[in-house]
Amino acid sequence: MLRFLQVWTDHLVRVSAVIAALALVGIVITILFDVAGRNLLGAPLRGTQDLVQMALIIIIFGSVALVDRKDANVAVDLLEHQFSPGLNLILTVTGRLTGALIFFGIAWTMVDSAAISVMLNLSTNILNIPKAPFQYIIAAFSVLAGVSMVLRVILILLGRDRVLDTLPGDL
Amino acid sequence: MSNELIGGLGVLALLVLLLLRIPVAFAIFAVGFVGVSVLASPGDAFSLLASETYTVASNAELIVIPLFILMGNVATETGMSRKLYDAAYAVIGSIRGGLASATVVGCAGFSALCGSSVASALTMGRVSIGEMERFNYSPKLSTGAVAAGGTLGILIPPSTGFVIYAILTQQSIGKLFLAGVVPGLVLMTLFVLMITFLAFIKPQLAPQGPKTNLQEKARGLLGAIPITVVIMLTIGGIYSGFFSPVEAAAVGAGLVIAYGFATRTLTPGTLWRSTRGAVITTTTVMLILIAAHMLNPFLALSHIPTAVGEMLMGLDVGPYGILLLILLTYLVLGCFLEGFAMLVLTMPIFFPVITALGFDPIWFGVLVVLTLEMGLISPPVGINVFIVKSVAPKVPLGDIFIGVAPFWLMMLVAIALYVMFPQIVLFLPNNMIT
Repeated sequence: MLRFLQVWTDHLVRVSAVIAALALVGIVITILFDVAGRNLLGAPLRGTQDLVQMALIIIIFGSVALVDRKDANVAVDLLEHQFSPGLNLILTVTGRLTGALIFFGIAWTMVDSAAISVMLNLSTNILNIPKAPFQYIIAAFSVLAGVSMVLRVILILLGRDRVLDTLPGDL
Repeated sequence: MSNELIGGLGVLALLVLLLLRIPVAFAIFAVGFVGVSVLASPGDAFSLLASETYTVASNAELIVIPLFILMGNVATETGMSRKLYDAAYAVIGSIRGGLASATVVGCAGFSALCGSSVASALTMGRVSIGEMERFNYSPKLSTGAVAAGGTLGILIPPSTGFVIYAILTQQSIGKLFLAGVVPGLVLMTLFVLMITFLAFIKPQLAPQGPKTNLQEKARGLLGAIPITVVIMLTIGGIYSGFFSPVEAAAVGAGLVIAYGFATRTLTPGTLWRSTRGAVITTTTVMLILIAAHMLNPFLALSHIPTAVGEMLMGLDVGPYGILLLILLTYLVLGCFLEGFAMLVLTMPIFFPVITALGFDPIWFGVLVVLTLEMGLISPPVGINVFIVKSVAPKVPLGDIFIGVAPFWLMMLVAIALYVMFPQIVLFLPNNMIT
């Protein structure tokens, strides 16, 4: 069961990272079209600002789980070598569980906010892209990050943790 | 319990959590959330969590972070960084200490493509340390030059440090980028002067490098033309008002990708690697920034910024004395704290004091980022030193710290220069065309 969960979570983490990376490449192209359109044709791409906002959400939250799986979160390791292996294990587990709690919290509040956005029909300024779907996206990616962190805690405690590799061939 | 005491306990708890290796973003989130829950209500804390997360994550200006990081990553993959070093090497490599100076100049050039000091040190370290070893350079000098040169990454635009500062203090990213240009070049020159001085008084530290003929010099310089074009377009575009920072970042990233594919130095695989690296780095920075927006309301509710401000303003040391105290605080904190965490923790406290004293916020931003740079090479944390150690594993860590010491002193000289002559910092942003 644990192995099944781990394999599927890792697949989802990889897919979410690919979505984030595609959003970044997509936004480069979008802004280039906007700049070229504005300066060469006098016709900027309408709503680029809105697209940038939404792409940034996907870039950040799409890679949150990957950041944890690659141990890329910034931490101060000044005293790491002074601590015993047991204490380091406890601190690693505490850090991950804190992270998981935060992301579950973000997911929960974001679902609430999305409901309000639907009720008030909130959207972006120019293209009128509804806000709620992106709040649900943040919630979904946050749940994935939280689950991935909890799974890693279990694997760390079982001594079976490993850092995720995400080369394209892994997909 | 007074609000100030709760705030003080919160700051203390944050420092403890950071020293206990809790990831910076999570520690700030946790303290901010608990603090707001205590000083306001848990409901308010949850509301903030939702609103601040969405607001920061959808701030369109922040797209410059992944775009510039992507530009730097692709520039590394396509060998542009190597070409920068080759150009500097061709021109000044043959003089005494020239290889170390070329490394610093290469770092400065690469810094204009990439907003990360760590990336600058890593990339230039890979390119130059072996070369300096080949010509019997002192390992202390060679590794010191790379570690210190790498720090130019967060001073010379595009700089992630400036973006974070701009968002935390609501300043113009474009003005901050321009404000970093001249101080970055001045610091680079100070580093080169220091290398030349060391090579002059102790010639065995930096033997003379190989002479290059005119043809080799021309070839080296020609190789750097594409990079120069990208730098001129992005920084020049912002200065002339032709591009916003976001547009400049996208144009820069687009150009290096196009260059990579045109010269066949970039493949879909390496583009994927660059993009994945960019989103990972972006997210680590952005999580800290989102967390900062949870911490700031807690600090405001605790009245700590007001209390510290009143205390500082009450000191009989004059505005420059207060500025000195603040900068000293950054230098001390920089020895122990990660740079962005330090910015997030201190900006709500010190920034109102700085503006109340009538100092220019853009000028102060450059001073703060410079102190962050010093933290990158200060013992015991000094992340750039550890990065260089990973590239030069045979050089003891202590030797690298000794090697960076002269450059650290040059940074102090630079701070003194920028305090005495603010126009070094403010000339470009004040003349920016908007």
